[in-house]
Amino acid sequence: MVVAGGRADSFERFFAATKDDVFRSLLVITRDRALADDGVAEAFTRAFERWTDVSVHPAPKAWVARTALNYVRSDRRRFRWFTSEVPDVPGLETSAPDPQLVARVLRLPRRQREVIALRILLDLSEERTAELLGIAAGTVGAHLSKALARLERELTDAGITEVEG
Amino acid sequence: MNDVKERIRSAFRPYRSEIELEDVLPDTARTEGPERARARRYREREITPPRTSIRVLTAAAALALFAVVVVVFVVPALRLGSPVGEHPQGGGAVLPIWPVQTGSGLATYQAEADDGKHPEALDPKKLAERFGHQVLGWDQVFAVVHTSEEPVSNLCGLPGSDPAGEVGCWSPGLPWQGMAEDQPGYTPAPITMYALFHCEPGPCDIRFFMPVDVVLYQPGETGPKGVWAVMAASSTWLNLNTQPGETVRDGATVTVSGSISHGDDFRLGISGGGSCEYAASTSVYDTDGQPPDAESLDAHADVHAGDTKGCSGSSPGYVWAAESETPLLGSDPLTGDGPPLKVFSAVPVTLVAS
Repeated sequence: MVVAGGRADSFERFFAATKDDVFRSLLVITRDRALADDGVAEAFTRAFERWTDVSVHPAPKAWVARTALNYVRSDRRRFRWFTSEVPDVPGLETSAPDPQLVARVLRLPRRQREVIALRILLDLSEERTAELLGIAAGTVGAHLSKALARLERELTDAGITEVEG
Repeated sequence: MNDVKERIRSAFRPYRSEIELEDVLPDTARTEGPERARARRYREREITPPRTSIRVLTAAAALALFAVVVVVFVVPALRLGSPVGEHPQGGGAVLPIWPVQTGSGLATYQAEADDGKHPEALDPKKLAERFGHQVLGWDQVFAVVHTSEEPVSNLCGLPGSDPAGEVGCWSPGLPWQGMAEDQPGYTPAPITMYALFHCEPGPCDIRFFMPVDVVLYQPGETGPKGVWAVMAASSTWLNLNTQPGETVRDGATVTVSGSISHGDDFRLGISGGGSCEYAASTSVYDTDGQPPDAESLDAHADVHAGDTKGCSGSSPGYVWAAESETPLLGSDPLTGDGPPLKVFSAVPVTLVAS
């Protein structure tokens, strides 16, 4: 792919470096692969349209994440009946190194999934995560601790101490 | 904790977006490449009301997952051959949620059945129907057996359905064609699943109603003299994240996600069985919004059984979620003291108090 001009060039580097992280975070939040891809497409399209501003934004990845989140939330409302609440992602990725953990993350309550998606998979700060989710920073920490403790306990209970193939 | 964080990162690393750069750049920003794929993606996406078949297939997918969960988590537990006890330990036998919930209750139930009481206890279909009457509160109950391989997808005219198949099929507006258990020589499997309808599956308009699925099994003695019991109930619109037989410790959070009709009452509850008198429930839920005909929900309840009489150590229990047009208040559907239900899900758990 050849893109025209330096503006697109810097966007291309940003896109290549962040799109999979944004996708994974949306995947955990929506549990819907197609919707996550749509969120990525929509957010990066808007990012390119505003690249002059977004490129100098203090946290462009957070800007894209917020745009993608807003999109999937509105899209999810619109297509409510099209989307199953059942986590159907694990079986689609046969190369996943830890399918049990993927399944357990996807079974977490929505708020805990959101915090894991933004804090761990997108590596946003607690403050940015709180801002995106519209909750207090302390609440982000509480949800994350609860989610990680639960995952740790479940993995221990299930006797899964090593990464499974 | 850091170990878990890193494992999460590693676990999701193989998942990659299929969106390419040309999908997000406008034509003017590139010198070559295909038509903007994003526009195509949106064109391809239907903006039409959902069809019955989509809802049914969604239900089939949910049920298939439920069946897989039962096969993966529950059947191995049943095969352990552990005696059913008053205080099951993790990994032991799975106790039923109805009509008894403890080992001693099961023994009494079996003894009474041996004496000729509870004739429905020896027939899974009749027991499923009784569950529909007593727990779901329905005047009419139609129980339709299905296999774990071919659950609700056995609907006439749907992709993948087999109208001449072993378990029959039905579709809205068509006469019911009969099911496997109506055929001579039919023998229920040791673990069997029924879909419960409150209207006859033939003319029943499944656009507005989906069945409550129940898993029945013989928790003690097997064969023609062994009593049947309900292990779990499942509904497409209320998905519990707790698995049958799961250990739920004090401080844990149980969750349900799904959707309810506007104006309906909803409740998520946890109850102890036998001597454990713990019972807690909540009607509070988070929602993403209010679509025209239903409201999505995500509800959580924390478990604190430790201070409750009879709940020290491990106790049998269950997690349930229900939807009703009538206020549920604090009623526990499995004790039969609530209003008629539209949707119901429940799984047996082992409560561990600290």
